[in-house]
Amino acid sequence: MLLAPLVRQLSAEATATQEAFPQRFVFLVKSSGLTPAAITPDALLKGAAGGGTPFRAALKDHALPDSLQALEPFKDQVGIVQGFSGKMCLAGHTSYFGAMGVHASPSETSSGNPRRATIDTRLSSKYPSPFGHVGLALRGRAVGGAGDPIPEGTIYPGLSALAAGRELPFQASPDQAYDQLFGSAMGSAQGRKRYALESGMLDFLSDDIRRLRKEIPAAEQEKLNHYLTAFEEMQERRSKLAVMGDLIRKGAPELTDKFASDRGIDRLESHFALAASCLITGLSHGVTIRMDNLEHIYTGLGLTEQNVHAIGHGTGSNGRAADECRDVIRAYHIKLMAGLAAKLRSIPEGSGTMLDNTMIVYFSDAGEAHHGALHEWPFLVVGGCGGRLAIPGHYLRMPDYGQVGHGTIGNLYTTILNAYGDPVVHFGDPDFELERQGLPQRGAVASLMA
Amino acid sequence: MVCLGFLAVSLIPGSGAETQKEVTQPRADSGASVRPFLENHCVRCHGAKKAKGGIRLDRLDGRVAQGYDFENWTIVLEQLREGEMPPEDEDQPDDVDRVSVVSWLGDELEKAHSSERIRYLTGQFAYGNHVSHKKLFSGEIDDRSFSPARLWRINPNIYDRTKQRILKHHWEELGRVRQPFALAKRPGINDYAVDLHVDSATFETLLRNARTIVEHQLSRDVSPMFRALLESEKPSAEQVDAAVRHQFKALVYRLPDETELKRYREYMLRAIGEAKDVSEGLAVCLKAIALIPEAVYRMELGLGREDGHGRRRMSGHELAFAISFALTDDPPDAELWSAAREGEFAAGEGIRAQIERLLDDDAIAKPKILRFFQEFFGYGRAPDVFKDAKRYQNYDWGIVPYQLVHEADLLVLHILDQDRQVLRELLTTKKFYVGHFGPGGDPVKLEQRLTALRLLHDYWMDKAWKKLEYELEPGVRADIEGLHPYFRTQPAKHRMSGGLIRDYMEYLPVCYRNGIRPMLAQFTLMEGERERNLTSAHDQRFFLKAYNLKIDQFDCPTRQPFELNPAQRIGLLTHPAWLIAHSKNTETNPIVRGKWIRERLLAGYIPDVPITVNAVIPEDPHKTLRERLGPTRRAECWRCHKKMNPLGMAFEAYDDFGRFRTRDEVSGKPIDARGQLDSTGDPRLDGKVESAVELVQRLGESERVRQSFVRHAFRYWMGRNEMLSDSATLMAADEAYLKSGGSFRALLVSLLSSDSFVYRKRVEE
Repeated sequence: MLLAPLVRQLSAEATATQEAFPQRFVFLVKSSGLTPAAITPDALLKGAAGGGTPFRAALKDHALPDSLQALEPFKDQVGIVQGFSGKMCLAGHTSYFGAMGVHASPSETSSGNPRRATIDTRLSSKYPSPFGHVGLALRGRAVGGAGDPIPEGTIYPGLSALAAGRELPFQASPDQAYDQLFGSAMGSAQGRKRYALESGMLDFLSDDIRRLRKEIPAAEQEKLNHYLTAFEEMQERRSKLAVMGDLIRKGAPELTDKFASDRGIDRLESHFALAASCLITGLSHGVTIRMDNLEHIYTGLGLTEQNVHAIGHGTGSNGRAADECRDVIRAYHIKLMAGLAAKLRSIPEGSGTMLDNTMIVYFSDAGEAHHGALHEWPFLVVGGCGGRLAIPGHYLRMPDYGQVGHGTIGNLYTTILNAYGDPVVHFGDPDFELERQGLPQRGAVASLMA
Repeated sequence: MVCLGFLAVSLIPGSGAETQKEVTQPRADSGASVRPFLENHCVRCHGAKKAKGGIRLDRLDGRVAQGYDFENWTIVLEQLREGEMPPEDEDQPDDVDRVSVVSWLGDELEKAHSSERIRYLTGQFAYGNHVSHKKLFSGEIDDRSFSPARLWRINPNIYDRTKQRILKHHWEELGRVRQPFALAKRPGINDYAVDLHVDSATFETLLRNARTIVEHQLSRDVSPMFRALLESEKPSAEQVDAAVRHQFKALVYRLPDETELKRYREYMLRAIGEAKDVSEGLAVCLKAIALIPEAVYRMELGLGREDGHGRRRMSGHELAFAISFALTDDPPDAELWSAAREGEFAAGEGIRAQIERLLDDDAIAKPKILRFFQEFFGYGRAPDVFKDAKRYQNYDWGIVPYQLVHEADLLVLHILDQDRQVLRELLTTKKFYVGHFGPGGDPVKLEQRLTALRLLHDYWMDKAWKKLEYELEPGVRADIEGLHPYFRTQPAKHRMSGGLIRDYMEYLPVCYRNGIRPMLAQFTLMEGERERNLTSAHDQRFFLKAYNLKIDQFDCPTRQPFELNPAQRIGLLTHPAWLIAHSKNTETNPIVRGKWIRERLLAGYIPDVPITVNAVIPEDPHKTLRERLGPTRRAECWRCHKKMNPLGMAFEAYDDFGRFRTRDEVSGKPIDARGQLDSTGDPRLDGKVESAVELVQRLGESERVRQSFVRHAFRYWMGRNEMLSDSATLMAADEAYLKSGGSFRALLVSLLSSDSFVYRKRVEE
């Protein structure tokens, strides 16, 4: 109970606006597509969008599909958004930065450079925090090498970017992430002595760099500036963390064996625990989790024979048909999502809970199928979204691709950004095909905003 | 601005007013007249409704001097100035208008060269070919060559070697020290000094690594210098100095100078005092040394003599590093340091002597050389191409591309070993390695192994080998070792196991039944700490298919490389590894293959895909890929595609797994593998070709191809694109290669002792 006021105080100091609470954003990116029919209530499967306007139904009137059952208790804050297209992105096994940045990538094996900050980091950047946006990953790029082991340490899945040309690093090792995020306050007296010595070391080295910079040609100084900035950012973060010791100790997750485990689902659970704690302590207001990739084998879910890629291509595993395997994986992801939602709901905030001021988005970097064609791109949203969006509690379906009133993910993200106070006119690259057909796609979709 | 002068010369020869006969003066407000000019004279054919030649002029970014829409504005300037546009049969603009626009654009584009955007672009490998090939090799440029003074972020391989030297065989720590310096995975050469940075994320990894490394240094493998400190309650200045020197040597690869030593000594003593703990104070100082800028960026500033032409030679110290890291991933050895100290690098012969010494010494690993060929040819990327294994043989595709890449590596190493007509051999050799050790394989030993395998087979033929457990019973093991000395001499990890025997016995009977020799390759792949042993018949079956070989028919020659099938395959461009690396997941990619040839072998360049294009090939099960690529023949597409498609089409004779074929699998239609060399810049090269074999033979003889190869070697070893001022270096390197009968070694010695390599110049704003 003591957490809530402290978080609010610190965050209010941090944000430039007069908002009472920071808004939180969690993006969960799965590989191999998110099947539209699988996240649509049965009765709404045939729901066509009428001329020009999105089709809309209240979820309270419908049962959630099977794999979404774990979200029943949160139904009033569940949103299902379908029909936005993303054909400006690379179609196929993955769209890399396109899924959240709305632009093309060179090829399946090359993510290219991100053209802009992706929607996840752009949203959370409005609410500064000690760690900024945090990336956690079980796996990295959608297409890895066959038989790739689960990665460790910092990886770059090619999904999320802090700025043009600047990719967001993801932490694949939950134990390392724990150290990084909570190590300033957790641990022994010895550990904290070491931490203080390291702060002194950062100062010492910054001086060295500044000295060296004077001797370098002007054209090359930028490189040292980058390096210096890295030091300064770390020092700044340390000062912020110093104030938050008690908060961190109360909110840090329990460091179990799962954090160092080799098993995929142990790691995923650890990442979700980390994400929850990050948000609750306020160490970060934005987290993106890379759930899996096409190489991954969900042995922990009893799918030992085939990887996600093979299942996506229609091969069954362990006696189950491919679609069933996808259901199993999706249901597991949803379970993790529901667990996160439950933790956030348990934290009071204002007259409601933390979940009211959170937006959790579940979708895939391959769009609507294993080999996405991207004429539609399903999104599952959980959380109150700060009351800014007319999505929670509803099912929404845009008019089909090529019809009047259709929208792209650029429109969707523009809508969300505008709703959260970022006045961008349009986020993302346009769909030129639609423009050629006389259906320009720019701006927000008013009916999605609260 | 010398380094960017080339752009001004090659793209904008002369500015507006000079080319006009009458002295028409541009208006004062020329900038403001540009947009109305475009709207009145250009946009009708180059706008939203019609975009002739694929060019749109209705939405150009007006920030010309900042480098926006640089290529398009350059085209506009050229077309207007040369009077090419508007076309003759259209209304022509007034002279004043034309001159105004041309003059303004000329000035603005001139400024753009120094803009951040353009400097960024010209620094990128993908833009290297924009420098005029003709000018580089004409001899007309007499500028003195140099490289800009720079910081060059440590190559990840160097960091890995350092890590191995310190952590040795401690597997757990090796796993926890992560590679902080990710190189982009773009095709081509990525280790360019110009835009490799250390950002916060990299720094965090470096810091974490530093903790692990220092923890290791103070708890296991503790050096005497550190131990002395750890065991004293009040360390002396000398002890501290010894520790600082040791750490500098390990992680900065050199000794500290007096100032540095004093600074770090004081820091360590202060830290020890603060922490009231020698071990903690020592640790934090050692960590600091691991993070100093020089541990992260190589410094190539030019600290030697000035030469009176604005250039500075690199100091002996700098050259020692440059030479060592040019060939190896290790810091300079004792001889290099000695040569540096003795001032031997003040003259070219001293540098050449050391380079030749390193090249001659087989005990010194020189992985940088093979890596150049992997990056230049790009075949190393084959494992990155995601394949649906079902289309190949319903097997986990995983290991196959690695084996193919390995065999391509062996071929490259063999040709480098011979060192005659290296490039021509790489492009046109009829010989390949398949299922073999490579250049190191001693034929006598191979025969012995063949004998041993036969004996093994005969021993097990009538026994229950299928029931063998992994661990062999001692009696059985003794029997096996008695069969042939080969089985006794195996290192522990390859010693006969039940699993290995089962694998052999699946394969050997097939060979002997069909009267063919089995493959003997002990292929060892280090993936992290995993090894793969490719003597498994199960695995071998699959990589053979890429060569169109059958496992029950392939009589593996003991002497390799051997002639595989010269009518179908010659050189690296018909090697399955290259073909796979330049294909898509489920079909070939003639466009990418053609682009590769245009860019790497012909020093050509192809503009980026226009933003308006949705480059998707229509599906059609009744058409070949060549037919489905019909849409690229449209005028606005063919402008660029003519540079790629006719080259890549010749390789349609090979599918996306590198297999030779005469029929397209999907449509069933026969393959048309005719291609064409066009606008190569070498008239002797241009013309139609009937097949890929003919194409690569033509390329292998070409001077332009040879020179393009030299340019790429330059880029790899200099870590940057060439400038016009590098002309002398490139011509000398080309001549060295030519005169030596195509010796790559001669080319390398020439490059690494060139002015471009040795001299630095500060390029200020």
